Amino acid sequence: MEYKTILFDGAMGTMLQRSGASIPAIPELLNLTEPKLLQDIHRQYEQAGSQVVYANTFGANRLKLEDRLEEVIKAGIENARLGAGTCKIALDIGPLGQLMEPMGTFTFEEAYEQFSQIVKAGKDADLIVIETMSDLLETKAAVLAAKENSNLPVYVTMSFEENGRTFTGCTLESMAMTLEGLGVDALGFNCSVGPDGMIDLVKRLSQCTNLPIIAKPNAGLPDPATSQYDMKPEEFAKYMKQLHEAGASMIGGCCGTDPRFIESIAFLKTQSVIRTQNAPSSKICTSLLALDLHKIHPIGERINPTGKKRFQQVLLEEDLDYIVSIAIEQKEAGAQILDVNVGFPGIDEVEMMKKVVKKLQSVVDLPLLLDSSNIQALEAGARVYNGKPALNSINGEQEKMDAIFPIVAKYGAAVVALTLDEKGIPKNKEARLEIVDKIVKEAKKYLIDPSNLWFDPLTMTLSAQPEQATETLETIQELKAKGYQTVLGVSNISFGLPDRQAVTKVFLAQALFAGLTLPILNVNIEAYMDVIVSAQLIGNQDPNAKNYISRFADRVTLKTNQNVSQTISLSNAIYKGLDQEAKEIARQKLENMAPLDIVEQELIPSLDKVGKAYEQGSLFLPQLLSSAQSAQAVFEVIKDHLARTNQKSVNKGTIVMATVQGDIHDIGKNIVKTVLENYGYEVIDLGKDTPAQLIFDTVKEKNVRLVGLSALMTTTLKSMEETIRLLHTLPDPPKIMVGGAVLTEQYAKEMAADYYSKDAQDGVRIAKEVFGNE
Amino acid sequence: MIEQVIRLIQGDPQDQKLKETIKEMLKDIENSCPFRIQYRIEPIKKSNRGFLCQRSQLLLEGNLADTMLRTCDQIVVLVCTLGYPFEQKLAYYAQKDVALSLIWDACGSIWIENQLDQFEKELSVSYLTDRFSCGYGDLPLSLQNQIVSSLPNIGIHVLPSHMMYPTKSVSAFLGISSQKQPARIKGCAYCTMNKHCPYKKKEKNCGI
Repeated sequence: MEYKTILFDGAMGTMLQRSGASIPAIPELLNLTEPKLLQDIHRQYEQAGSQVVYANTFGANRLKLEDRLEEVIKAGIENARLGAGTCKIALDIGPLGQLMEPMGTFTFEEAYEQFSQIVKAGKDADLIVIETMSDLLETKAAVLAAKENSNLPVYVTMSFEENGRTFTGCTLESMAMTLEGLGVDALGFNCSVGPDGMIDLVKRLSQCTNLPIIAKPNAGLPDPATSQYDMKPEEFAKYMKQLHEAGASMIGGCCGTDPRFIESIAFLKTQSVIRTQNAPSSKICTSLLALDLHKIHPIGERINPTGKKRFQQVLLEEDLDYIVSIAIEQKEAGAQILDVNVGFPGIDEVEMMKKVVKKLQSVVDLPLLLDSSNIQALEAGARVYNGKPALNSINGEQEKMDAIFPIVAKYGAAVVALTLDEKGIPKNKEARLEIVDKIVKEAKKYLIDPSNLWFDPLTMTLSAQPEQATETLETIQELKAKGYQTVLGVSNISFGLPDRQAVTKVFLAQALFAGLTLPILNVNIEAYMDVIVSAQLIGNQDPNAKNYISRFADRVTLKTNQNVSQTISLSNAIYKGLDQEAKEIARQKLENMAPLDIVEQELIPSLDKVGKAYEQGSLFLPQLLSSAQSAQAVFEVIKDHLARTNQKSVNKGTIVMATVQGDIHDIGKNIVKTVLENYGYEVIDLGKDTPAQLIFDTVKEKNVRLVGLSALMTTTLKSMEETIRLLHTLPDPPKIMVGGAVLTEQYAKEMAADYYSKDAQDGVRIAKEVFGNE
Repeated sequence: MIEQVIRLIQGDPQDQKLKETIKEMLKDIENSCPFRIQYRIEPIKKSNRGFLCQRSQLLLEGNLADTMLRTCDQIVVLVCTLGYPFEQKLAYYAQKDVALSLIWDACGSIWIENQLDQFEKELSVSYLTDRFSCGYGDLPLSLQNQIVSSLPNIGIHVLPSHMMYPTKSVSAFLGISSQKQPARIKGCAYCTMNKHCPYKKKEKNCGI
């Protein structure tokens, strides 16, 4: 396909520095104080050949400019218009300079609000350019703000390093997939590298998107001795020609470039760019991981409260750490996509979906399949999702498609499409395929490509409808032959039958052979993942049999370990940090021992032994922590058992723990938390960089009697002191223990903390003192 | 490096499994957490308020700067980081197994210091002072923001508390002198573990 070349401008900052004018801390203020200077710079770019110039609005946002935002942006656009009247004027939007969640505390919603204000203020521009972005979620907030608050074209460039990732780790493929899905009009790169370093990036991007590609590189890299960019316009032009040939049709310069550089590439304006078109293919991503789905990718089904009492309980308690632990367990077991269903009576599913998506994405890099019958929950999840999400599900019912396809289209998602409709589940392959045609046709109305439809031919229970399994398998074969993506929950096949795994694994193998690429299953069941890994090997999807070998080579060793578990005591398993063995012994003990007796008579004495050994110096810190981890694994077994048997959970006292505001180190706090949980205390972990008010509110709301605060650096002791002061304004303040590298007994006293906890064992002693034998 | 990590986490030097874990993690850091550095070499001038970096206009005040830069006429101002991928894995380990998060964090600390040592070795300038950073001695942490914003962006955020994110980020100075420089910084007196170090309590040192 042919792309017309469009010439952009070069750097603004470089030009301002060279002008000799005094540059304020917020250079956008020059729009008001030095309009002539700005107009002159824009004019120089116009004369050099630019067809698009960026208004001087890159860093203009409400956080910096407060109530001057509108006038600064308006003036910036006007200056560009006056200086470069023949050019299209871009409202230039840069990063907000805030550390976004999950790394920082600035939320997606706050970012969206900030960008919306910028977009509204810049309505006089001809287009919107979002540039120098590193964080994909922040970029998504900016794009949504642009699309929802204006009708202008939206161009986006992110800053990539030569390794194909941004500073935040976003992959090039993830950028392309996500932004294209959100409906941007052009995308590419600016800043970070010189034009030579951008050539391979453009080549790769050109294989990921059919949109026009923008390239605005720096004038090489700055010389450390002079801070100057050292590339000359001629050299810049030489590489820009290569960039243009590689596929970039919208070209200009970033840091270190000036009108001479633009003039040097103006000759490219008359040459269009020819690119090979990429056929659509089924994909999904997070910021960190992009998956091409033409091979087998197992989807973990465990994040779902249906039939799981413990899960239902944690949803009601908003124990998101538990949900993350299930995600981690599935990732370790081999899941490559995670289904996320958090619907349960008594839960605000819309809010919960948002919270869980954010929480999961802060820890796990796997793409998510957002699963809900609540349409608002699906949209809420898709909106805050960092990457290209998948939704579960639509079907051939008109009402469903009318409600969900707009969300799929808006967020560029993929969607599971069940082959059923108003008439129910068809009895045969032909009727299922008719529904497929109907769904594909309807999706086209929303410009949704069939590659974004994952068809589920539905697994029916063998015990009730024995003839249906063949229909399902044959439907998969047909769908595969037509080039459609297939997804299938397999475990329903064996419902009601004895030894369910026996039949499920065979059905799974047959479905994979028929062409299924996205099986939804319990990945923690070894037999199923054995089938998957073997099928990947047989299907030539496992180069050098790497996954197969790493899975099965250790099998013998694992079996040996299982034998060991029958000869070792729980105390020894915990002492040695043997999680699996400890869990197995706990399970066996639960058969003839009360759960609380296991905690009191086995677990706690074992932990005391470990703690003592650590204090005496015969056990080292990493070993203490491994023991704590094993004890935690035992606790999980006990908690599961209690939930399953409708018994009250173990809680010797609730403790709020947090690293204070301004401090972003939380390993110490996490260690204390783990050990306290081992002893049966419930810890509400408020994380790091925690505002005093949040700690105060949590303590007040839940009437918490013990608070643990942590700080690593001297600079955050003040924040700790303020938190303590605030907590002491409560009529019945909780006891407060403090700890962290810079803390001492003396400091603790001075800031009116009740206890100084020198380590985790000390924390346990304090908790015992506060809660006594409650 | 493995031994350095073991010392930092107060681990058992004989623990083979631990050594293996550290070895794997260091390899992982090397592959997935690229070390990024930006630096500038600039002339410095002594004034009655301190040492002024001539290009960035950073002013280094106080006794530490005076001790370190007394005989220097140039300075290296640097920032470096292991970036966000390091933090993402740290968050993963923190949820999976707190012991692993402790080891990963320590591997990051040792790795970045080793990379900086390597960087120093490769700088072809005359005599360098010890590396020093804000927060050492009386050199104020409030300089942090100015240092980071004076160099090209490598993805470091300075929080209002002057801490840097990603957490495995370092800002530092190295004086350049025509005279040989004594070691002034390395050792227990300047270490943040000073008060709590288990080695020091046993009248030993960690050797870092």
